[in-house]
Amino acid sequence: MMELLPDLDKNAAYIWACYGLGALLVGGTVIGVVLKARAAKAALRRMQTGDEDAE
Amino acid sequence: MSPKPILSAFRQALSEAWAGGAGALLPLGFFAGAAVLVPLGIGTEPGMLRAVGPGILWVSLALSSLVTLERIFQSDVEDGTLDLWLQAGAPVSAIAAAKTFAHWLTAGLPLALMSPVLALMFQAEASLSLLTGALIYGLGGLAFFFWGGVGAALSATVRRGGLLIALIALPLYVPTAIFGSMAMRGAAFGDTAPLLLAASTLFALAAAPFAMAAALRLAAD
Amino acid sequence: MGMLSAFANPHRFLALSNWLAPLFYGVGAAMIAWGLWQGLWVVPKDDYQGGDIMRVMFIHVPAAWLAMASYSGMAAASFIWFIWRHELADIAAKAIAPLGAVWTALCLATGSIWGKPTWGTWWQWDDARMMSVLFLFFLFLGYMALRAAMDSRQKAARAGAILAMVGALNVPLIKFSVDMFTSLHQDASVITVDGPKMAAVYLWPLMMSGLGHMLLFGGLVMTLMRAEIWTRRAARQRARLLAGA
Repeated sequence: MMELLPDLDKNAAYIWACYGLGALLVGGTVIGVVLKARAAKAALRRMQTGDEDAE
Repeated sequence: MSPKPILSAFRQALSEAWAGGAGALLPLGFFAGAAVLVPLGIGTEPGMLRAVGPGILWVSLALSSLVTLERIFQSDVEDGTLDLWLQAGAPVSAIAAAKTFAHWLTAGLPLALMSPVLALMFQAEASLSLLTGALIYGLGGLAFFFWGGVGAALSATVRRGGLLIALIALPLYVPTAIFGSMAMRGAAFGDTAPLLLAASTLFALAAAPFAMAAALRLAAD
Repeated sequence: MGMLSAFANPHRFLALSNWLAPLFYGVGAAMIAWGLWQGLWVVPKDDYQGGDIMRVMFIHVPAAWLAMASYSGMAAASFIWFIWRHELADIAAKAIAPLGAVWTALCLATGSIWGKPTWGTWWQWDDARMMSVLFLFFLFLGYMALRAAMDSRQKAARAGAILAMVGALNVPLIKFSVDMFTSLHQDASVITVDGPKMAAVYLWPLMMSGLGHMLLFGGLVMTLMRAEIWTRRAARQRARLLAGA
């Protein structure tokens, strides 16, 4: 398993911190945006079927 | 277009700013108070105070411009003056510029004039350069007030918009703060820094009134 | 041209983005993955640029590109909305702001982490690029705060457009002044990430990562725009229901 990781010598911690942070921020944004779009679409559906109690 | 509404707005802003806050005392007190807090916070070592003094004065000047600008256009929106200007086809950008200029006269210029006193308290040497310093603070303050005025016009309909003005205006203050502090340090750039400061202030004077006018039209709707 | 008119019409935009956004996500993610693999495993370290730490470049530099591109995009959309009042242009500007802020924050954070082993400090006031990006971040924050403070969509759109245009007008001046400020005490050992010195082995992974981030960003903008269109439709529907009741 370990040999799959690249050898990044003394700065490994900094490099992984950057990419970890990037994955977290970008991944979190993607999830947040997709969830927001879903919620907006569901709200519109509910409104169009006239079912206001569902909110 | 007759200059009448511009002049009357200017006079009204002047008297408002003068009477509404104990004259120039309020901004002066704020300016001095903010500056005087710093030595209490960082210590009184003369060399350090001499080094940070000009920067502290810039920060205080920026802050006091933001504080005094919060209500510059709000009363016009609330009491319908703005609607009257728009209906009469008055040049809103010129009126906004006149009002901002009046606020600079009552709140910005006194601070610049007082800067030599504060500079002395910050251990600066008494010399003629304190007077050129006052000129530089005055010029930079003008740019602060005009960009701050854009923030004030944009948030004229927002209740308690003071923090919003600060967030909007602070990035716009950057060039002035940089050129201004470079001009204060003098030696490194010679004449360039004051010229750049003057140019960026002129840019603010030219561009900000139109943004203020667009923002005020929006506030009237 | 067909693309452009599709972007001016909400119906056609919804139809187009329905397949274009997922495509952007997929291709963008694949390109980023390839760039990462190349950047972390394949390309040799560059001792001239501080050894392995330069591998951070494959995320930091795309983030920096996007920080600048997204502000320009937001300002351009604001301008289009201000002149022609295309509702979609405002929706685009509104969607770009939070995403641009995320990539700008990413650029600042990775730049700061890169700076620690390189300059020995988390924050280098003398680095013009970091300072400019910081002020860009504040411009995004101010834009979002102003829009949020307005009490109607129309006002938020107008105020946002004015501020974005004022900001865009000031960005060159801010950049110039910051360059001037930092050149006062210039450090000779500044890393030249982008410049003729960059070896070709790094160029390809960097370009691919950059393009991948742009595609991903574009897909996210489209998805957020779709969400906003649906939200506005729901609000209109609600108003109609209330008026009918």
